[in-house]
Amino acid sequence: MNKLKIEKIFMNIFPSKIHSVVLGKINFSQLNEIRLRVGKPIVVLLGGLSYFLSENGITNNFESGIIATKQDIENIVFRASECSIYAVNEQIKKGFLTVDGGVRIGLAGECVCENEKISTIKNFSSLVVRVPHKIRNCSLPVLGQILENGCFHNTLIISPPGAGKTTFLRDFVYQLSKRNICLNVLAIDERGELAGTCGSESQLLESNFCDVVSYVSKSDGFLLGVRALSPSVVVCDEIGAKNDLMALEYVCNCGVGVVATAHASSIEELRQKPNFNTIIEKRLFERYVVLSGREGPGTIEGIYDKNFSPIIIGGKI
Amino acid sequence: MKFVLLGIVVLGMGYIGFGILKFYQKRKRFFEDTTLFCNKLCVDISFSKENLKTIINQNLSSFGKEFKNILEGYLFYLDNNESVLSQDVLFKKNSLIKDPEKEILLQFFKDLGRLDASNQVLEIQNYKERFSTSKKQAEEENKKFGALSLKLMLLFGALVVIILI
Repeated sequence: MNKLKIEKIFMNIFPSKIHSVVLGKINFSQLNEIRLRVGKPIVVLLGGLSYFLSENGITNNFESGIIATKQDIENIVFRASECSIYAVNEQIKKGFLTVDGGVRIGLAGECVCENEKISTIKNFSSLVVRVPHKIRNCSLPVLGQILENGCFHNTLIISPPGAGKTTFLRDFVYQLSKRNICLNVLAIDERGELAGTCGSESQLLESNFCDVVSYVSKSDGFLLGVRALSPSVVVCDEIGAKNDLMALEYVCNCGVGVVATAHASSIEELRQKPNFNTIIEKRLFERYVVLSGREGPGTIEGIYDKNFSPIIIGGKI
Repeated sequence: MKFVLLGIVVLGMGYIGFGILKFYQKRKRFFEDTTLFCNKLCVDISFSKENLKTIINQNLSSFGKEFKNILEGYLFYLDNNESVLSQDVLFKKNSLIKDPEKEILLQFFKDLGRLDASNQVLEIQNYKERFSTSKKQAEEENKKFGALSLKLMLLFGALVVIILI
């Protein structure tokens, strides 16, 4: 998505005291996220480092930081929902909100529960706006490992939050298309963040061979997509729930390739996650790619095979 | 010449009476539109969960001029991040409604889009009841004073003519 489009989104959702600084006084291309907490200075993550947002740009001095008010946060949520919170409540109750173009807003506040399920969130107390980035060729060092001698290996990308998993997936889809590798790709985009769908057009996934199913749970998306669209490869972001993994197992057994991401900072951490036991034991994934933010988002810590034997260790994407 | 002037007096009085009649008719139409708008919102929010801008733009043509002006003011507020929803934005072209009615309408528009679907619909239904009361009042006023004022002004004009003759 181009800078102008993102700038327009920022102007639409942020109050002028914030968007004038973000768009005018900081290096927008390096901006990863903006955090607002009621009564606290606004924090920006710029090039992987945290700063306070001040009227003059960024600062390390919290006293000169712009203080976020409750009104600011409520207005951002209101504007981000296109002034219709009821229309996006299904997202809000899952704790996020996706604006056109894949800008994801994570929300915190008072959860309202009915029948032991969250029905909505009210009195928003903080939010984080994550800015999507396009990093060309960031998946290239791994592409040869996923597509090896014409053979597609199911791959799980693992990293802690904010280390470039989603950006990696987007670039992977782009690289397939760029090389005219005619694999029909299905993107399951539960939060609208991966593809950045606006209307029916994907703004972040650039591919001639990609179908996108948005705002559907991964388990439903897998089943629906595989039956209806007969993909060769399915890509999806942040798997982890039991249902997701069961559906994923079904897809793998249908002869469809999978590239997915999961939260974990290392192979050891992944192995300790209870839901992943079956997947690991059955060796559904043949490649594990570990990313970190050690040298900036997208640092490759290692590529492992299905037995967790290292193929490549270290190196930055 | 005298008869021409007398004719002008009768027409002038009739025009004033007609103006008063139109005022009450517009008020009646205005409150009919507010309840109609509430109905449309409830249906569209419950079933399609369309956003407010879409709902308003799709239905703008079905409302009278006065309520349409208010909706256009509200759309301006929705389209401009910096503007605050105030009486000036909503009612800049409206002289039909009284101050307490303006307060309720302002609050109604301020509350729109701030809740989940079921609570939003309940809230709109609450406002609709209040608008229905104003609608009934406007209908009664229209019956009582609208037609009557036209007749009275015409009679008054005729009386002036008789006195002057």
